[in-house]
Amino acid sequence: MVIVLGTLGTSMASAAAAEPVIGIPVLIPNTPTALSTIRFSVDVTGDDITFVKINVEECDGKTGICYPEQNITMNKISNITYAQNVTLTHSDATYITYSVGVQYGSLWKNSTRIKLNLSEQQPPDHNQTNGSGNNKKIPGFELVVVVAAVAVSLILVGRKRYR
Amino acid sequence: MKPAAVISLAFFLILLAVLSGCLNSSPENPSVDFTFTTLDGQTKQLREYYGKVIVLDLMGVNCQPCTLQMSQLKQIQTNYSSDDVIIISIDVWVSLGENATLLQQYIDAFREQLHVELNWTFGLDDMKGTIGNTYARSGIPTLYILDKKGNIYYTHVGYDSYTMLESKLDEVLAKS
Repeated sequence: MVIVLGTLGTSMASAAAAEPVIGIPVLIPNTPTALSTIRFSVDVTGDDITFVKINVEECDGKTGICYPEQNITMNKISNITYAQNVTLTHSDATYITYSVGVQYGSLWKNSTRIKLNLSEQQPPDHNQTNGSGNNKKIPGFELVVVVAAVAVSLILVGRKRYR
Repeated sequence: MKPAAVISLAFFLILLAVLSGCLNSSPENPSVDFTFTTLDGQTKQLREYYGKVIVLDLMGVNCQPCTLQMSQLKQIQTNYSSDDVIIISIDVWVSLGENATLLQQYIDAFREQLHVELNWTFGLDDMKGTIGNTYARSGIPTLYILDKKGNIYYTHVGYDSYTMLESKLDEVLAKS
């Protein structure tokens, strides 16, 4: 199945035009985590290159969900190198897939899509809670307990007065 | 009525109101309808397919779990009569650059590389992502099972197993 995806990421351009050559993107850091910012850089050679875009899709491999990908224009930082920072936006993402799209003239060429597993997040700092020590309670239900307690108290007080 | 009883009654009414606020008050089983474009360029309305149980698969070509989901959908197509159940897959990532050519290549790749015919209705969202923004906001694949009237019977975001889909289909078919 993965082979199918890989095949689909290949060129969409017509064979008549001289296609640009897209290098392998370099990521910094090369073991990113969810919600981190990744610097992508890639070498692209060819004529009449008008746009270079990085396409990054975040997926949660546990639930099998993929989120809409980010398509961000890369900046030319040298003769052939393009770079861009991409911030991942989904905390539950376990892997990303990315490809580079190059517009040359009126045509587009997409590189093969690459999958990269994200490193596990650092565990959250449990000292930074609200002090209750139990943050798994459903918000708002404390109010139910308070209302019930007040109601019972009033009933008891009412009975005492009645006697 | 005694004052204490009145106060108690008032508090219990408040309590009831608080608890009822915790319940889902949205209308049950809302229907799904939208316009999409088929691979051969025709504009279709989902309601044109009402009358059969619909498995609606909102997907994208560049979505790996969506690709895995195709096997389960193929299994459904094989095991259920097309008189009862139809499958409609809509590419909702058109606004992100996917198009009819890519979708056709995707279907062709299944046939040529995996010898699997994805021979059900495929369509595309519009450039604004209207379908995706309305029905697949939480990510893709998003699967819906619609009853014969187009009402939502089952929804799942993310890859779903054949067993689950089969049990839901059997349920909805038994009810209709």
